[in-house]
Amino acid sequence: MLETLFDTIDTVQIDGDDRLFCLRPLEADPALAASIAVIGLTQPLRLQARPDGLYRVVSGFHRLQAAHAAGLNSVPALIFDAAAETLEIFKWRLAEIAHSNPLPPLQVSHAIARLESGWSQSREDIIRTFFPLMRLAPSPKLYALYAPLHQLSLSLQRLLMQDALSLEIAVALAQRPASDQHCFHGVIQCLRLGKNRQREFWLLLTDLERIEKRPLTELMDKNPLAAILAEAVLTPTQKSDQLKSALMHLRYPTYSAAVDRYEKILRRAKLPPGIQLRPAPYFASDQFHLELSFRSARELRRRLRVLETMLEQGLIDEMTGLA
Amino acid sequence: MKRHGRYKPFVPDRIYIEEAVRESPWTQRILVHLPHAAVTPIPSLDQWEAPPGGNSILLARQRGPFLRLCPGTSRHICCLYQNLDIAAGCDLDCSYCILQAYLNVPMTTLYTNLDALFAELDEKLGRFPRRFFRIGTGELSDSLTFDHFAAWSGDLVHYFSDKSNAIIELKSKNTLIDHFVRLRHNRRTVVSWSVNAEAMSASEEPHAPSLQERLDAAVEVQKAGFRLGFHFDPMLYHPDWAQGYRATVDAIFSRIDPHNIAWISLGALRYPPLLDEIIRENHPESEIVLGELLPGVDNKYRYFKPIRIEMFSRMYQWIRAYSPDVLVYLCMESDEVWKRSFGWSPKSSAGLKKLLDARVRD
Ligand code: SF4
Repeated sequence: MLETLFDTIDTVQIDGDDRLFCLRPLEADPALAASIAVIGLTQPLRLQARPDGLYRVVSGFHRLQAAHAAGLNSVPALIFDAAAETLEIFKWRLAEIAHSNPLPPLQVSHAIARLESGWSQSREDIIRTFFPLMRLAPSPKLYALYAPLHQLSLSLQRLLMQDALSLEIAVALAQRPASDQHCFHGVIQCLRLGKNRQREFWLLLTDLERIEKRPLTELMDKNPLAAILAEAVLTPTQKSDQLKSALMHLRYPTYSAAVDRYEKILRRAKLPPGIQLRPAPYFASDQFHLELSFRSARELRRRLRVLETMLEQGLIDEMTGLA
Repeated sequence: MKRHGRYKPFVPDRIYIEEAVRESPWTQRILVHLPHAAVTPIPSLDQWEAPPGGNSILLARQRGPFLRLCPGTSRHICCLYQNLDIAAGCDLDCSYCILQAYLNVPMTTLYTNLDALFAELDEKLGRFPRRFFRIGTGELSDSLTFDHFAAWSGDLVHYFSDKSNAIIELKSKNTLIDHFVRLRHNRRTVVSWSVNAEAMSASEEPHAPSLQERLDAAVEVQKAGFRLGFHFDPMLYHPDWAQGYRATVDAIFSRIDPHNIAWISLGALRYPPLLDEIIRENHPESEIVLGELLPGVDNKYRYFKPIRIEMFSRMYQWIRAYSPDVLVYLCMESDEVWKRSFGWSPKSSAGLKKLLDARVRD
């Protein structure tokens, strides 16, 4: 049983750089600092005394940082003894965070990294002993999935913590160089992509990387992709549509060429809004769908005339011969 | 690019045996052929959990019917083939293999209650004497990949040799022909090989025998008077596809007499969306997912139609240059694609069945 003692500790005695127990990236939290400035620290930190007379943080990294920002000179704390096994404290900490829900993937990843670097725990030990503490199934697959996440850039880790980054993409990005992470983060931000669309763009981009045998950054530097992202007057939605279309042209050139030819035919036909003429999705079958709307016999005759002209000009033949 | 290693037939190191088939002669035969494999009896498969990994097989009782009409795919012309589910699973691990997504067995399973299989065939073939059955074992496995220890090919060739309303097709990438090649077959067995462009075979089927080895086996089988089949399936679009497939057509016709060929099928890569993810995960080096694959009317991914039509029509020309009358057919394509690729179409699944049956009826 790990014992703690309550005390008030001068902030200068706490080594905030000792991150042995830290499970996520530290970021300034002005709102927390403002609240601490007004009402003080309501929840004590957990610290461990170190043999050198200083303290390391067990929990409350953000509160300590906010306390510094709020100008507090001392903080209330529950203190673990210097003689307590750090690994035991770490276990206690994991169990505490996961007491009602499984640890989120990013924190699992940081925990794995700490266990491996701080206490030389093997992968098997982590899965067998520590995963249940984090309320995770002892699954090697889960380990492989979560372990790399701490290698994400801080901005991507932030997105992941905010549940604004698809886990699948996060895992893939964590195994990529910082330049790729930065590049795709830029795409997400610029287009304001939700998780589903992140997957869609990621798949297109990574397939193109392999097809064109160029790294992601080089691909995105190329026009028209770079130009679309840099365009100042377009909204994020317009940029997404244009970027997607540009990527589709590169990824599916034969299909995209057919789509372009089809649209050209429609433009030549000058169809009024009351006529919708659509091929089967992806031209997968030879069927076309025609939708006509009209309000009077006169209008219907006009619409039919447009279609007849299309037939006379050979546009329907061109259409059906497209794919 | 991966290369074919020297092909090594699969040798399981552990055999799990369901109690119900423990005494089956087909189980006993496998045990004789695999004396070094550890054997673990399984009293009942209900709630049995297969241990992960390992090089194991399960010998079990087929609980459902062995014979099953090919499910086909909506709005496509199907050859109305009957699958004989004698095994489920395969050791060859081809990158595109559909079994990665579909298998509903705990591990590679060989069904050894073949007494029930032959009784079922007797009943079915006897009940419909005027109907013609083309039956194959190569749907949930490769027909010959376990034959060096299961030796089922011999049973099947022998069984079908006196059937007037059925043939068996052994469809394989393998070269394990010893258990049947010298048997009396009465031309009721078609031995067919799945073939590909050599580069694709090397990268996507690296654990299977090479094209050359498959053709060596085909030549042996031809000498023994069997009818042969060739399945270009899945055809894979890649930068040198035309040279690659043409070379395979040339290689076949340089060694095989067209009169001995019952049929040649062409099928372009197609798969359900789920398999896309599985291929990317199981075979990260494979580039087959990078083709222009788009959802079709049956929701499966296929190459964009003009690409398929180009591949099929050129293959058709190359094959026709060697043989004006060998039956070339498309696997799971629409009437439109048939017409635009070959200039004709069997119009319906029944039409295609008729053509295929006619090749092997007598
Ligand atoms: S040989 Fe056939 S069954 Fe075996 S892995 Fe390859 S595709 Fe699948």
